[in-house]
Amino acid sequence: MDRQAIHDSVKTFILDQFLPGEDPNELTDDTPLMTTGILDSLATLKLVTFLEEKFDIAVEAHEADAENLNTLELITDLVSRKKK
Amino acid sequence: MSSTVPPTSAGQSAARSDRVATAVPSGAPGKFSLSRLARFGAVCAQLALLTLIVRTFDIESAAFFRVMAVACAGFVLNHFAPMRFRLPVFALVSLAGIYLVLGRTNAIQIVALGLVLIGLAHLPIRFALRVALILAVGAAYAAMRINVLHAPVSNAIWPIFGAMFMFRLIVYMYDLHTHAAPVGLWRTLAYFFMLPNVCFPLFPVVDYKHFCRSYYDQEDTRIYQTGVEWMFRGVVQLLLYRWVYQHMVGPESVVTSLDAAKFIVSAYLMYLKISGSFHVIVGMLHLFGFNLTQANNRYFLSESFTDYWRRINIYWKDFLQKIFFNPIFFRLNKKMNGTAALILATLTAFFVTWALHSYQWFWIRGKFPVVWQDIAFWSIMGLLVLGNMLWENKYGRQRALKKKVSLRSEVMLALRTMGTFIVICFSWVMWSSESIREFGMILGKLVRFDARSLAWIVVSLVALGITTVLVARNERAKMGGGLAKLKKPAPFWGPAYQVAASCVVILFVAYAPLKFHVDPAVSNVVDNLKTSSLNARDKQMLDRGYYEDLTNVVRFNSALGDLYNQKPPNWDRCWALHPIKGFPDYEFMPNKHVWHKGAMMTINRWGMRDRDCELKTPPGTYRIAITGASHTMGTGVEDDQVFDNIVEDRLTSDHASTDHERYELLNFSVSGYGPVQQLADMDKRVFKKFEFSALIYIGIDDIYWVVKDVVDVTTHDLPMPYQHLHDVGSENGLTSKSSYAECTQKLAPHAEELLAWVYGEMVQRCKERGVVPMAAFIPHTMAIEPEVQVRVDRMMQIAHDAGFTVLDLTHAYDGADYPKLWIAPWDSHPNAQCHRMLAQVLYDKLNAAGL
Repeated sequence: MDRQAIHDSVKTFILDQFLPGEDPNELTDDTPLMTTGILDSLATLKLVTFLEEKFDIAVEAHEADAENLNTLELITDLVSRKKK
Repeated sequence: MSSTVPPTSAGQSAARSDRVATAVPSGAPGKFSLSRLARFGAVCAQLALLTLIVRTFDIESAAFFRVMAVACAGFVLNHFAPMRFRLPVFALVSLAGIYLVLGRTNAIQIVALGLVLIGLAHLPIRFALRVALILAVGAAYAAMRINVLHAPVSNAIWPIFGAMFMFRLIVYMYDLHTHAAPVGLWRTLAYFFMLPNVCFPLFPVVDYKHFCRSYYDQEDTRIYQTGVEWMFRGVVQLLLYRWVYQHMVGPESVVTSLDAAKFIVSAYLMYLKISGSFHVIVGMLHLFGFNLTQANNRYFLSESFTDYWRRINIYWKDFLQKIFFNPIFFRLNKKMNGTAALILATLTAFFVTWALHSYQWFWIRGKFPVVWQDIAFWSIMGLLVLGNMLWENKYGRQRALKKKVSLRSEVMLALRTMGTFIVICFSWVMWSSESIREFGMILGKLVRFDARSLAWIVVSLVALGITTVLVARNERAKMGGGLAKLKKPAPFWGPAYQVAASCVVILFVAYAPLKFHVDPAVSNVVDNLKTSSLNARDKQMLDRGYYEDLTNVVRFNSALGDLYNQKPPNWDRCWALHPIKGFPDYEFMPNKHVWHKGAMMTINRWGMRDRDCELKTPPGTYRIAITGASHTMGTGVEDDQVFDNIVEDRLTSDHASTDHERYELLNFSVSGYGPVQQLADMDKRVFKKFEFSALIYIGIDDIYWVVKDVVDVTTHDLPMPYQHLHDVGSENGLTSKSSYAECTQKLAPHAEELLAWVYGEMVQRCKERGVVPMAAFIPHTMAIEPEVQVRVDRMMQIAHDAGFTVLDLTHAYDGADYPKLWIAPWDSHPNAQCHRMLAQVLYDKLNAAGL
């Protein structure tokens, strides 16, 4: 699965689960997700579960933080790294 | 250790506040450009103004002002140092701060003990072994903390040492194990010994990875500006805390529904001390390039319990989540369904929160408190947050980037915020109550609404709801600006002018009364804000605290708690006292020579803290019996420094005549004996066994103490020796099941009547035996409120009306600096200087009385 596909899949999930009714163009690659509260602790766990199931990767507990999950770009980077 | 890794550039940003990182590396060419210098100068000016505010208002402690001064100097040094030297500069500035605040010996001890732990963390052995070694050494330190293991280590260092290592070491080891962040000598020293920690035993749990990743990840002057803004916010919160604290009354003063509402909200507002301190701490770290997130975020405006949990202490929440919640959830989620894993992980996190809070108090106070208030509070909070999480898990939570929100949603937001605020307030007041009955009493007063109280409560809650809606709109406006607005650097000059102007206004308000005529009501408020004295309630608690284990006080970070935190363990324990049956229920053991509160105390063969004497008056001797409590017993001063011995020696040397070769003052005072206990002691031994010609009963604030005596007898289910007092208690519905506050409130209207009866009994006993009855009233060792002065004046009048010859000694300490009159900063008993002053005044009064 290429990077763009990963990106689009993650974006769709976030919009559907956490930002229903939002204009997709408002969610950009650099929109901070954790620090703005869009991804709280519960949502982070849901996202991680989704990433693991969708992309068949294993996310460690210490990787589920803002450094890896704060923006779409960072999430895509994490999945891409794990897929290699 | 591996070599230091340079800080990351923006783009690989760690958790951030509402400001977005911009990719301008610091230390780059341009540091001496006019614009950068101007911004740096602006930050320096704001910092100088803040330091002046800290000094003017005596914020926190003298140690904090020293730390501010070190921070100012260190800030300039750090900024102009080449980038590669900045971490070492910060680490060295931090160590210098420890030395300046704690002194050389304590500083060496803290650093040495810390280096042992850091060294163990980096031993070239398996991680599990390193953890085991650290736990073993930690256990040894804990044993030293409670003096089980004796080591040449000062007790004073443990609260600060604990604050530095108890949580940060856990985070550090976790990040070492997961290779989450770079390590290096200076970085590690900076992390553990960071400057503000030396004067804050309660400190945010700074995450090591975040500490590293946030280092100069934005243009330096913008990081600094955020820092001074947060420091300003913190100082304002600390001043607000002080104002609330000074006006806070005890539960016994809660009468109306509005009183109860104010009391309940005040209990919650005590957290301003923590949030204010944390803002100052994190702001100060910004000055050295650590672009950390804020420690709390408008927690009064929480709209749900999970929201409250996310806002009240962000560092604690992140620490729990990183170290406990996530690892537990991830592990359980593989073995069971997500909901079950969520429940178990959440409940575990709150159990750990309770345990770690008690663990924190262990390092601060040397005791691991297991009290129902903590258990109840964290259990309730855990269940509320869990319930909220399960709800959000099922139904989702409203989030918005730019989507318009309906009026209905905003009304619901306001109502949720009001509801959350009410529940949190109740939880806080329960947490701070001395007993469930006291908590029940407060709630009982609250629900007895009258129109005025109800109106005020409703208006205040609605104002809170409206504030929440307005703040949410403002936040959406910021977020809704799109990527372009988010990428734009945060403004510098606007906030800088605001902070500087606000500081100038505060300083003007502080100094205006010195230069201009200002309404006394206003100038009194300002003057009171400049002092960190105890409030009326805590002054009484300070007195009570010597006789009761007020663990509650320590857990709650009141000004009194700060004093208690300095107090050595077992300070209050007196090995010369033992419990007895009856009333009073304790007395001195005879023939004891013990160390108590910093002085040797001798108890003679009759169980008196006094020189030896005979039961019968020796020929040619004039004897005066003295009864009193701890002040007159001479707590914390040597035997010959107690005022009665000074007066005795002086009377003998100055007035020995053919009638009286010598004078004897027999001191029957016992710590904690109030008027009723002293009357009982007179019946039991003073009048029963001894001969004397005059009695001086010594009191301080008997209208308060007589009520306390009767309440203590009732609530501790002791035998009341006097039928009259028993009847007064019964008539007013006092039972052993009543709370202390409730009993006090019911008896307060009868205080003068009770005291008049007690005094009358004392005078009668004197007259029956041909003893001259005198009552001497000594001053408090702290400034007293006008209403207390009224009580003191009434007390002397009551004594006069009862038949005592009144000796007014209440001006014995006039002109002295009160804190210098105490035996220790945490103990307001009069010191040797006080006893000399008291002796002089008593001697003069006795001379004037013709004795």
